[in-house]
Amino acid sequence: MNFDYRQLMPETLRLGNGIPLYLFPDPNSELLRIEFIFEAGSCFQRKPIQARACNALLEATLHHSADAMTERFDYYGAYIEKYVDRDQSSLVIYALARYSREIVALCEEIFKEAVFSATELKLYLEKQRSQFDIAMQKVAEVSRRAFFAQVFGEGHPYGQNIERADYDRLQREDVEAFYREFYVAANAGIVLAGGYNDETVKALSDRFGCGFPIGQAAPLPAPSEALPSARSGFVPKAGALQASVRMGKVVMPPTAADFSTFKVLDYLFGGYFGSRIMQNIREEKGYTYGISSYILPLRAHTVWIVASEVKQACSRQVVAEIRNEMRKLCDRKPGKKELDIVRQVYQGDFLREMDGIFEIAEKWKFLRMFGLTDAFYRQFAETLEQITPAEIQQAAQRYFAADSFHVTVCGDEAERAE
Amino acid sequence: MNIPFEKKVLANGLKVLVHKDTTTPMAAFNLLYDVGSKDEHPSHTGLAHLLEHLMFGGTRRFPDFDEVIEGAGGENNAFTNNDFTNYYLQMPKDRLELAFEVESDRMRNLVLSPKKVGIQKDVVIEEFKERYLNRPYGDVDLLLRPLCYTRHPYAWATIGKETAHIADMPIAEIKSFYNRYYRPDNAILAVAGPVEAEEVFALSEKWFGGIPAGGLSPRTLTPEPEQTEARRMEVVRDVPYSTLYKVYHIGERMSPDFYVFDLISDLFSNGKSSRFYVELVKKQRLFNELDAYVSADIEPGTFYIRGRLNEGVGYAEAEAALQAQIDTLATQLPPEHELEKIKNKLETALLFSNLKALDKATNLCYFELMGGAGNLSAEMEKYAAVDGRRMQAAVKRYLRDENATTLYYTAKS
Repeated sequence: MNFDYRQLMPETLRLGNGIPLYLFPDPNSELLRIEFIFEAGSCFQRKPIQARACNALLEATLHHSADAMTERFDYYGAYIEKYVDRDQSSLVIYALARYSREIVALCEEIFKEAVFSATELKLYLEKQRSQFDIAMQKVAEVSRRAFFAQVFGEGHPYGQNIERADYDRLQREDVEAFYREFYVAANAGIVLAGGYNDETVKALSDRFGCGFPIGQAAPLPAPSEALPSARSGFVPKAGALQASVRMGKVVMPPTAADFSTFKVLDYLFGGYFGSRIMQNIREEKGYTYGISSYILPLRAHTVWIVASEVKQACSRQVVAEIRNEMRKLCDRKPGKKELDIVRQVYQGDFLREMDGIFEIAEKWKFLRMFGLTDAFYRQFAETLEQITPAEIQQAAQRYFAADSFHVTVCGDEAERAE
Repeated sequence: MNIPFEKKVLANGLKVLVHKDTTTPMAAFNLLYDVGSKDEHPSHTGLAHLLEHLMFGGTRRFPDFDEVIEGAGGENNAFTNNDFTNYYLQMPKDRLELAFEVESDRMRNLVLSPKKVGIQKDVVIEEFKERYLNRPYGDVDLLLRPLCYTRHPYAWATIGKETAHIADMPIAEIKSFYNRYYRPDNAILAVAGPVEAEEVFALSEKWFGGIPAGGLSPRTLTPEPEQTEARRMEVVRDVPYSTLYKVYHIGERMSPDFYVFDLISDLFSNGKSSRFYVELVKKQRLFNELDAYVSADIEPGTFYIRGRLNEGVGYAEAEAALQAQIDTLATQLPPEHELEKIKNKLETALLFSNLKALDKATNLCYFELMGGAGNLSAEMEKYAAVDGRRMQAAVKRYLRDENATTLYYTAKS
């Protein structure tokens, strides 16, 4: 594959207070992307919603109201995206490169001079609660929640779910405390990409390299010794027209030697349109509009998941067919032709995923979280090229043991065919 | 924003556009057919979209379309809307010819076996349930369209009026639709990537040149008569929050009014400093979500307002507040600073939607369909030319009660 892996590795500057600044330049771009990453995901929170609310409320400052700040970002044509996952929180700004100086100054203000008001929090929580109410009517959301609670246990930071009453419990002080503890230099990283210039880099270095409390690096979550054993769960949802199926388990992290082998297996099994489960369950049986498998790498545990919304009466058949497809791979090695297609599909997907400086900058978050480098992708390309059908079969025998999977189904109990 | 291209029309009517972009190793291949759900018979709705699914069913030469593309490291997909059906592929540059080979083959030689048709009907019905029936507020489009359009075929959604239309679709109907519309003179091809125009033109001639033109006569759709009185409807559904929808007829996608309304929708609801958000969501606390947007239909389309009511807020109060916002715009010119703001935001969005080779190929086809691919590069200028006076004139002309359709989507308490 004709790809220059070196472009995945940014030039890195250390700011005065230790914050790393990663650079992905594209001088021809009229657009700019700045991402601020903090080790401030939901696994660190002491109260539900604390991490999300904190990230969302980073608007108002000592000198400007939330409205005034959003007005200023909007004026420069900026779009702000906020992400809070289990491990990290981030704020991504897309803007016109010609306003980079103004944007950097606004960013400094929202991070350094953040103010949390009870009124803004109340409004945020009310809006989130209404979105929660709507999400809970979707079988996909209900099964997703139940699945993670099943895999990690409800007491685990990765297994906890928000309940409706949580939206009444969070206090302004909780949000501010989270900000003080986690939005500190020791937890921060900045990724700059696109059409910036030296002046932008200097502005970021000057403004974020000092005046930020250094703080304590967050205690990163370690893998749990004991996780709940695999079981099947069913969540009834009366009147649902489709059932939602989630199936999966904890697998090896991206840093493990056998990760790349498993990734190839995942691709062949459910990672592309021509995959085993898509062909069987959609294209041959018509049980669903779509079914796929994917790997979700969290810092302490990586999870492999099969997900689909299916014909209400067929959820049992779908689970049986997923198992059936796993068994087939254990019993018989895939054909060379199929494996060749997987190789080609992956390479095409990879080139598309890395097509553009913003895409490459986005991938850095993943590599950085696991302490990986471009060697990760080189290693994967090598595995993909060299892996044999027999090795795929051996991998299936290793990872697809029948009793190791959690299954969660949400749907209408009465419509569930025996 | 400038997206240069070269164009050639083959003898059989196929239009070919080429945009050179050397920043990517992948070539984007976009083939648009000028057929959408507006071309369906009212008793066989959902056909254009069902046929899009069946287009992946294979030909005698390439029984498994996806496998051929995937085997070459390519990716492909398609979408259908009321106006057109669009197929797109991304291929490593050195395998680009394969895209020509398979796409030209399935333009004429699609196999429509009863078995494959049966399975894709099931798949599409599951899609219908997943996206429209089994999710809160999913059926809104199904309710609003027939209310807004009494004569024009925008009266039904691309997925179809109901699942029975898909289940009962006769195979002969599918075949005749395919034979009529899947023709070179009813299609536009764009290739973007590290390519030369001459090589793309040569490939087009080689693979598509031999396909005879269909000679389709221009479509004659019943125009939607001007709406003269307010339309209202209320439904009760098992959803958590009552939601108000207001839909106004406006001009078609390429009319000057479209640009005006696109900017009005931004002024109302793009971002947290927008008027709706600051005034009605945050200050008055009437809505927990409130959006305005334009439909971007090629034929005369619509301007939408969608507001999810906070608990305890009635429709009358919510509608009055929306009307007050409309009246303010009708009577007071928006400040220059606010216009600059929404134009800056629009510029960011426009640059983003034309960043990738594939986006550019798709957009070139779309603009060619609407009269000329060159218009794509003129988009920003058209937005820039909108001023407060034109906004006011458009608001006064279109955002009137007699031109509105209102849906109360009421939560079962």
